[in-house]
Amino acid sequence: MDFSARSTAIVLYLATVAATATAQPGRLSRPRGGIEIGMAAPSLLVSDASGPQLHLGFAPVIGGIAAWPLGPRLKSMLALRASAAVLRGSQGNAEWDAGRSSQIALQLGVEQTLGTRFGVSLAVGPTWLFGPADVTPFRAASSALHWGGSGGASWRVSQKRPIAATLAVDGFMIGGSSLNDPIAEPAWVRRVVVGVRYGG
Amino acid sequence: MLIGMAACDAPTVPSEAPAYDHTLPGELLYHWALGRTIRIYVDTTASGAQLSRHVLAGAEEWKSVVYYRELDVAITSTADDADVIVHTDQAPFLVQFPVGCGFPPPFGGGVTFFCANEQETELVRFPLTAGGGGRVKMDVTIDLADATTPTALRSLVTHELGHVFGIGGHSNNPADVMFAAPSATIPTERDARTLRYLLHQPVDLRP
Repeated sequence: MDFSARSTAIVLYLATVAATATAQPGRLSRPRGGIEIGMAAPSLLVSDASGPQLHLGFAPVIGGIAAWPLGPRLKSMLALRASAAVLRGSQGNAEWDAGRSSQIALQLGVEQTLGTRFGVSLAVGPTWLFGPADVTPFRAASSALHWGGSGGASWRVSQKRPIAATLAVDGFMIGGSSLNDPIAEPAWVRRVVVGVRYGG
Repeated sequence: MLIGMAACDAPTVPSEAPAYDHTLPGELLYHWALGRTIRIYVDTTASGAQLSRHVLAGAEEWKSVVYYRELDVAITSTADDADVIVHTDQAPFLVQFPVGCGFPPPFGGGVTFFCANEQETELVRFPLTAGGGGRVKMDVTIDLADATTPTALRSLVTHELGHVFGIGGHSNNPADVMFAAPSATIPTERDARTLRYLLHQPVDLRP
């Protein structure tokens, strides 16, 4: 690509961004795309009343976002995120490898900008959770599908580029999926995720 | 939603009660450290490869009943790095039994033998007869006279592995694999519940 072609591409990109940024509320405009990368902190997956606990380890998260403006400071967002983590069992001083887990979450939500840089968001949607078939909660789950959501905040670190640092709590409900499910009562699995978002 | 998420407890598996007495005489409880790989050497003298197959299958059956992979088993190729030796009564013992430990009693279809230290806090190591130390803490003898069919052999092996993993007592239900004269070849839900329960209890004797 020569210089003029590169310039044309940049101009077309900026024009697209500008067009979507000025879209009228109530009208479905072309979405702005974005990507996210982050890291989920270790979290408790299952607690056994007789002692053992099963934890999700640190989990890298990668995601894609499509955002539609709903107003000057409000936008809707559709996000698809994937992550993977090791599973660790523990009881007292004992700790062991319980396999690997991965999850894919599709969430639809809104983000409200407060001030010039700060934003808060809420989203809901399905999460597909995968893991070893011999380990609870996977062994008795009737489906990999679980419902969940997230709530978070973002801080735009640059006014020139659409880069934001993000902090979110996401979660999904597991348990009670069948008569054989050892987790009798549905309950939340929660994670804290920090990351960076570009675009959206 | 954040408030709702914060207010709920984590997914919880309720406690279970054992289906039968899982302790040794004196109500002593033992099991291997959770998550530790229990290394089993199968001496196939006089039994052929079928004993290995039954040990492997029986171990897998027991492993499948726990919820969090807290029970792990590996078959070793030598006795040197084994925690447990399984053999038939037709094969000589590969370990010596320290003074004060006695000797595996010659009764029943199978015997799982181990010995506590004087303080009754942990199991003693059985030195290998071939020398070199070793790390064997349990010796399992299968009486071939009682294992006249593959099913009977499988049943005896799975039963003795139940003792290896920590079930010190016997079930009074003939359907259970831990019934004293077992005919079941796979752990029942009662067996499974009993193992899960005891694995999560503090031990008196640590192998």
